[in-house]
Amino acid sequence: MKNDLYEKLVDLYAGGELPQETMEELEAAAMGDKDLAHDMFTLTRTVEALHADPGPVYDEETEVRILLTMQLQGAELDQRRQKGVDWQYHLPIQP
Amino acid sequence: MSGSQKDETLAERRWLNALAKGDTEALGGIYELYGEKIYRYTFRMLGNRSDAEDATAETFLRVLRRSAELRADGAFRTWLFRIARNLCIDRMRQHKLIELPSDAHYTGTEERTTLRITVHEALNQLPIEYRDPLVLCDLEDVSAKEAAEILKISVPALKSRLYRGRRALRDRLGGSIEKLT
Repeated sequence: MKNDLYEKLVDLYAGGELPQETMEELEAAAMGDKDLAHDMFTLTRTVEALHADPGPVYDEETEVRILLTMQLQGAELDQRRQKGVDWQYHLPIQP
Repeated sequence: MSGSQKDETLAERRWLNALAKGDTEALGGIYELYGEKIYRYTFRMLGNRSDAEDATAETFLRVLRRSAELRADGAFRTWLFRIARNLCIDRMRQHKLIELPSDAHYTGTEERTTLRITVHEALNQLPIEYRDPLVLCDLEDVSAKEAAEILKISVPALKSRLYRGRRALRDRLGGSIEKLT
């Protein structure tokens, strides 16, 4: 399979960038070429794994910590956000 | 352009104009638009929560410090990602972050979490020139054109790095890629 053209086509195939007709031709070629089939399968799986990753959790706790860091360094934030930060960080003794 | 993109553009213009006129509280509005996106990006680049939180906060503080220069010309988002990226690179140089630190947190089943950590570990071992396009295009769904602008390279160069990066990641994942569904 070691062929630059195939390699480029597989790159496009894995990224879903090939036209339908070319995709089908490449899949047909892979039927008789184990290396090509493996390259297509593993690269597609890699891209799918990346696309399916939901990413880090961005929750209220994270947001409050970021906003607090910004405030501690002098940033003024709008009232609604200000309230959120104050709400999260009550002093231990409240009147 | 979709309705939500239009709304985002209008809101961006409003907050940037306010910030440029000295309304420092407008930073909260800009954070509301882009805070989560920048956090997700910095987390992907740095691999841990505390560094990502610090880098995100610093990104927006830089916006504040340069507020007089800001123009609502459509390039703000690209500029913001560029600042975040430079901060991530500085931190990576400082800490030589290679392994996934223990405070990274993931949700999902144990099996999926393990596989995701494998992907993240492999990603963190890639050279920055490959990690950059993978994080922007494959993980954060930034268009090739915008990713190229953020990285200050041409679109063909970006695509070349993206394709090489995918292959490099696949090679690092080895046999475990076949378990990923």
